[in-house]
Amino acid sequence: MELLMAIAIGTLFGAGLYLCLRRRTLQVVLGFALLGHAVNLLILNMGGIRHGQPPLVNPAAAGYADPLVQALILTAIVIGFGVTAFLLVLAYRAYQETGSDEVNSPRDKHP
Amino acid sequence: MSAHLPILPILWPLATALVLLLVLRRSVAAQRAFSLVSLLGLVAIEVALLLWLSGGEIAVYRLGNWEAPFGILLMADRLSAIMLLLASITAVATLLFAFGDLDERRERMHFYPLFQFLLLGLNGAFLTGDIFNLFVWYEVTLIATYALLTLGSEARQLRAGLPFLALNLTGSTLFLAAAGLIYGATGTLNMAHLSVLTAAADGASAVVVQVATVLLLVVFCFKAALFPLYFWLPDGYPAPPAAISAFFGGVATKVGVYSMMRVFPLVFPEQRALVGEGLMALGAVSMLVGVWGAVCQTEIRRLLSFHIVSQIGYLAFALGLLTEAGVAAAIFYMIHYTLVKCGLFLVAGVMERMTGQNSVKKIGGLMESAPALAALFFVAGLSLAGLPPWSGFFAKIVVVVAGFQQERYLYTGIAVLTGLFTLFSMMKIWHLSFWGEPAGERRPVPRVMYGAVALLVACSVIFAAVFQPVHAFARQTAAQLLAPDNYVRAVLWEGR
Repeated sequence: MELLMAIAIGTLFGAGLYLCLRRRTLQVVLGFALLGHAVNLLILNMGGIRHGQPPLVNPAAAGYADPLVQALILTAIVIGFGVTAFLLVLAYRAYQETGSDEVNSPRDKHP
Repeated sequence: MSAHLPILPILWPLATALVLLLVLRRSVAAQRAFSLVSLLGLVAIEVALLLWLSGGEIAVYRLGNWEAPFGILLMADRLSAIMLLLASITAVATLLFAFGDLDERRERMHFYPLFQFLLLGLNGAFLTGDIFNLFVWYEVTLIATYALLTLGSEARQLRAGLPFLALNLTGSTLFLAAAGLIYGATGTLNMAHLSVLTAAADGASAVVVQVATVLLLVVFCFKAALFPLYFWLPDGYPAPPAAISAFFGGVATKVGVYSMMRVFPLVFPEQRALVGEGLMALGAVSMLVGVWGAVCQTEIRRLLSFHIVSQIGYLAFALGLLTEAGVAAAIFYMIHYTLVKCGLFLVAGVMERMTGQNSVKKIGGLMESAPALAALFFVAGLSLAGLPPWSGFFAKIVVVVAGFQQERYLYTGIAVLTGLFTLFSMMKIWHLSFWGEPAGERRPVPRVMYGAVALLVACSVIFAAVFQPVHAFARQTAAQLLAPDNYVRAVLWEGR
């Protein structure tokens, strides 16, 4: 299971990084979304994977899953959501204003 | 009351921002007055905090009274108090400047609440004692920064905003990954607890801790705009109005430097050699690359932005020595440089406002038409270059002395050489814009903008006048920072 997760994290990181290095803004936005998922999975993995166990200490259950990583990921998801929303609006406004959807448009040159 | 003092610098701007946003949103005049009064109140709170902590006490504030290391906690020491006060003083000057500089459209677009949110994020970052919480405060700061950077939606701001946001987002992602790795290796996120556990890590955990250290170094270099991760700064910072870019230039990048000071000695006491060498080398390259970049520029605020990279190099070099003298020099330098850099950005703002131009080549003869501005630039510019008797001279001296004490001759030599180039680029502004034939228009500039610049320049002059007690205080601060045991005791053992 952990190997599978590691491969998934690696794939997400790779795909996200590739998209982040593209010139079009929408691809960059999607790249950051993928990177965010990769990091969230990484944190989940770092807490240790327990199959089918509750995230609280229950004397009746055999064990418990680490609840802290889930809290961390929840925080990260909320922040990521806000930033992605802002990024999308900014990309759209920049497109309206400059007529180009490239992150660094050729007209960017300074005097 | 004093038990709750550490959380006030966080609650105060938050409450202010909410009042501005919900109650006073219709009247710009009321927003201005309330922001200023609230900010002065914040300064008073932080002076009280500084006086309380100047004896060397480490204040620990447990949120929800959860016992450490299980809950999130705030931790305030001398360094936190210095940073808080420095940020607020700079904020007062910036706010005064904004009264004259900002157009009413931007003021109506919630400049004042956003500014309070930015302060909220900064203050949180200066006070937290938890590494994941530090990430959260970074994000609060960054979201306010993104909004302020693009406030007004001019084409240039929007174009600069995208790469700025993308690069900072990369930094945040890496920070999150580092926090995850640290938690996986040690099972805690509390900085003081980590101090014990990272030192004891062995086998695979030790490797993970080392990877996390390097990741965090990259993240903080990103935030502080250290070579080679500085390129987002010279494009981003000159884009918004001068008041906003002055505060960014003066304070925002310091969060990265503050985090280095806080995290590396405390959280990774065993990785000092690795971090120290890395910081010194990157700092030395930053000094030169930044100042060379500045020498080639003609747009004033872009030129000053390159100087930020160069000055951050000094901080990183002094910090990388990781001796008491070195860290003290970094703290001392940071105080000087925050005041002076913000002041210079504001001078640039006055010049742009007066002449309608932003390039030194298109401005000329300001010496005759605006002698007061020339005097202020003279003090701030020479101070940045490190000429006596201004504050930069004392700041550079302590850095150079700390470097020589550790026999780092090459890096120290670069620091001295960089001062020379800095002087050259300040002289370029002086020659082209203040001397020479009058060029550019002459528009009236609101008095309050001059007042803001004068406030910062006066602070820097006072700083130079009392440099000895300030430096003694910086040494005490450095000694406290380099002894992680005190934090471990204060957080984990006391107050149970």
